[in-house]
Amino acid sequence: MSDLYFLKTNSFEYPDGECLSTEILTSINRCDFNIAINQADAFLRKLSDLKGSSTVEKVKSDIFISEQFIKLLSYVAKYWLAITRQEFSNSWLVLQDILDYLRCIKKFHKKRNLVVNFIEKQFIALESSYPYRLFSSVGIVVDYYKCSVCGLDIDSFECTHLKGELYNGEIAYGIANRILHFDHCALVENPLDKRCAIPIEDNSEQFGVQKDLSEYVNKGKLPPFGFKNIEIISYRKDNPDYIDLPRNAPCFCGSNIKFKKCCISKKMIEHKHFEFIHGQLFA
Amino acid sequence: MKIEFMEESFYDNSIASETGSFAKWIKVKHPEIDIELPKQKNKVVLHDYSLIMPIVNLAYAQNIPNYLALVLEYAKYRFAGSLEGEKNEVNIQVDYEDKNTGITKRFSFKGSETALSESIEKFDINKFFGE
Repeated sequence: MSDLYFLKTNSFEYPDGECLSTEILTSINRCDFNIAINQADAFLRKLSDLKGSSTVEKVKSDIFISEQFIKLLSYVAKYWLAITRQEFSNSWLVLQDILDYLRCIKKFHKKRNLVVNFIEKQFIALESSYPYRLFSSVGIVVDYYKCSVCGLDIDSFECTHLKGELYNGEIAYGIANRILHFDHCALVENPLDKRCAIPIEDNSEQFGVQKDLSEYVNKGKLPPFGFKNIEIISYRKDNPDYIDLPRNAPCFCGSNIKFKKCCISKKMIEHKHFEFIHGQLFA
Repeated sequence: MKIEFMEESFYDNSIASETGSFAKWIKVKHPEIDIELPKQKNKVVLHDYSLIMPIVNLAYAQNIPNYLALVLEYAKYRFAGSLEGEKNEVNIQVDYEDKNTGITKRFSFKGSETALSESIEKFDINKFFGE
């Protein structure tokens, strides 16, 4: 059986996997996002039942990988739903969930897969089109981290689980037991969690690319799987707000600073053009 | 090689949150390495995407390149599943106390996996002592 649109793992093969996965992808590409979410949920319930009834650790772990793949598709549908509804702040959070699912799949499934590669490339490009550049990052002191599998201190040698590894179809997490001290909150460019971005209102001009994307998809000009990459072209253009004033006059921007010390050099401004590069998931 | 994990005096003598994972990984992958962990310490966690390794003390400065190679191997394990183009930075601090002179020297590194790999190749023990 072909494994173009589903993940083929070593110990587990779902009979209709390829077909069901293709149906979800097709629904997304047709902009039937709620249908795609329901299809993914139904598939996930079947996978969950199978995982629950299996007693073989390797099979459970392989079902876990399949679950991550279907959750990825479900979140791709949720992403496009948020975009078409112009819920751009929310779409950023869903996009981060998608990137986390991709990391998880790539960690545990080493074989290359058409859908995973396509979505990875597309969503990395989409991430770069958002206006978020700075993120908050906290420094905290924690009593200890409890293992999500056995409940012991995950950093102790008594706990036999390694953080982030798969055991019986579940990832071992360290759950912070008690936060003893909140030390600081910093602004960083490369945080652990990019969901902690400084909020921007959905109607802000900074979401210009997402607004265009929303219109293209809503009007049927661009199907969700109709582009694979976004090329960012930077160039300088005339500043439409620029007013040439005497050097010592108050600046046109309303800063109450002399023109020569404020916007005198902003006759041209940098502009970024985002070009959606054609690419099709389906042949 | 013996690795002694140190407390972070800046954070009320807590240990870096990566300490436990790293120590357990060493125990599984390199059981020949002797490790010494401070007992019952709180964990300090910084929500940065870079891999912040705990401060360690090495009995022999000659082991610094071996330790860096060990961290590189661990970083590859920890960053497995990274997406294309992600900045996988590593932050390392190694202390070495010269028993004869009582002078402690610190080796610090912050950079990508590739830069760490290059740093291991270029590491000059004589230059380290001479600085």
